[in-house]
Amino acid sequence: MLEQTHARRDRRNLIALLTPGMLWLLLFFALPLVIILLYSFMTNGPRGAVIWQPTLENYRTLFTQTIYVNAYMRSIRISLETTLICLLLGYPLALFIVRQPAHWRTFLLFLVLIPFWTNFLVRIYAWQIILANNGIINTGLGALGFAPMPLLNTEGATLLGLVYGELPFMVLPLYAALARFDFTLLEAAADLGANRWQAFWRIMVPQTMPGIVAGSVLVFIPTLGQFVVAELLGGAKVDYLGNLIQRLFLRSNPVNWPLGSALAVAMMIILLALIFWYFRVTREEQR
Amino acid sequence: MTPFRSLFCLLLLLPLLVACGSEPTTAPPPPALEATDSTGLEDGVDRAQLASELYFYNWGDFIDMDTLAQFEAEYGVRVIYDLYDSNEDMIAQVRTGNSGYDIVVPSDYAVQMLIEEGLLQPLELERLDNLRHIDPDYLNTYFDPGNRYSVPYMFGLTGIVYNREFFPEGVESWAALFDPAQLEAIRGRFSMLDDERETPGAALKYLGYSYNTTEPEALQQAQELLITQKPFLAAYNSADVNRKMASGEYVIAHSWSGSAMQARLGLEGEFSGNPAINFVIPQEGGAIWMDNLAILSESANAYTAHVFINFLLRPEIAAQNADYVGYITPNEAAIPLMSEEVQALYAAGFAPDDALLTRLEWIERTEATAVFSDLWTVVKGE
Repeated sequence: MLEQTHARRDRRNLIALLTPGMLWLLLFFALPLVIILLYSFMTNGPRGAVIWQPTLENYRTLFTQTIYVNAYMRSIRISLETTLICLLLGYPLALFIVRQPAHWRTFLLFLVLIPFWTNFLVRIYAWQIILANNGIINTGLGALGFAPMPLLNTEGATLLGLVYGELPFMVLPLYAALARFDFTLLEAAADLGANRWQAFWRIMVPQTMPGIVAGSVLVFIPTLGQFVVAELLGGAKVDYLGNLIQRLFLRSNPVNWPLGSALAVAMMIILLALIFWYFRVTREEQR
Repeated sequence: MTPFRSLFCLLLLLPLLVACGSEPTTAPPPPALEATDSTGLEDGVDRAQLASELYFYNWGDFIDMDTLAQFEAEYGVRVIYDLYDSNEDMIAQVRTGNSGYDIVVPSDYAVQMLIEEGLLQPLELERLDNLRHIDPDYLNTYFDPGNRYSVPYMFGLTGIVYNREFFPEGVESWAALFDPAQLEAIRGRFSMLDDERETPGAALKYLGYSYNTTEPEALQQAQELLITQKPFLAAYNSADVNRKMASGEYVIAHSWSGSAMQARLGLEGEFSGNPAINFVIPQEGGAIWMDNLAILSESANAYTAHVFINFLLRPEIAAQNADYVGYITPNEAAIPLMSEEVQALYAAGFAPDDALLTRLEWIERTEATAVFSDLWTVVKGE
């Protein structure tokens, strides 16, 4: 009897505690999502107002017109490249930090986080100053007697900006995974005849896989929707998904919210599939 | 304020709030008034009729805030000022019917859209006696014949900005940006506007067509021309052509006249000007666009809004704003009051004379011109 009252009170407390957060999510996350989903099945009016007339036309456009299919392929490609480069740079960096004495470790992690103190847009503009025709690198090259190179407004510059922005999101989960890693396992592997490469590949990588997957997902997801870097460092010459969606919502005339919504929904489905995969991998790791 | 007093104030305000909530979206007709001449008031403005607040929805960086302070001081009306950065943003807000704004500043085609959707209220032109200062060339336009709903605020041109050190002979034709033979010399050092109408439009002009043509053959040629141009291009840029021309990062660019003016004169606190910068409307022609003052249908403060618009049309206020903003004022009487530097640039082709006006075209937005979105997506997808 007493236990029952306790249980009921606990449940009531739980509901009271959860309600504000759930309401918040419902209002500012679920509702907009539902609206986007609805829009993606609506018709675009001649003046860019959404007409409540259900259609599958937007999705048909997406999957049949090569310009949209190409934008997806291009975005997925550059996001994968960004993720891979972040992983190749981030893993050694995280490993290096983990192997330092404790007080150094805190300081080095602090350094990884310092860029967040400045607005991302400002930092991307700083890259413009570094890469421009009359920027820091090309001025330096000129002083040394070399011809200036086109650096800014290239796909390379876009990739650089993306890797630069996302690297901390790769390093932090990798650091967390590596900090839990028992390094004596490597000695054990060596004792049992594994060379350093085998020890790394067959012991350390599988043990830190949750960190690798978490970092990769954290980098891949925001990169897929990024549009600022392509615009400011890539010269807005090529559309990635984010640029297309932004243009359809804000700039094209008339604006086309239904098609933009369909693009966004399709992108979310790709991401959901990825997150689903992530949960499966991490759950298997835990077993 | 003590809690008791704030509660008391709230109670006082309550009926007002309820009234606001239940008000129909269509504004009541403005109070009938006698013509300004017969009011016997010193400046024709009946202070008793003024609202205490006016909600002004304008483009970013598009007014000298000092002029708002002057208006507040003179009439005791507080101006609440909000910003937008595209016509489409503003229209989406206004379409709701209760945006809360009194005055908006739509561009040419956007005026037409707002009129068609019934979102603007007719102006009482007799209340706007300063309209006489506006150059008739900029009145009675295609988007609002007879200026029934809008009056011009500022306008600009689209053409070519270039650096005279790089082009000592000057630039006369769009060929400088489109002829493949001329592009090698400026590879990576020029930009086109990131705009689905301006940039295909410039290509159409170069090919001898109108900005507004939707003939498939013409569009196909323009698309191919843009794709040929793209490998030579530094960027599609509508954001900071001014800065990049001033610094020498670009030597030539497709540009709005206002950005060209800023590249020449500099922007206070941001970058210094470059005296080698010049602006030209190519011989094949360029574009003109205009931002206009208009009163929303939903506004219940039409009287105050008219007083405010008339204030902005005063030559000295228009001059102050045009000096600040860098776009061109259609206010003839304002030009002699502007800074001498700017007046000299107006005369040098940063603003149109009669001959130049004939080479300019308005960019119209109709159902048919939606094809430009697709063209632009193809160009960007290459």
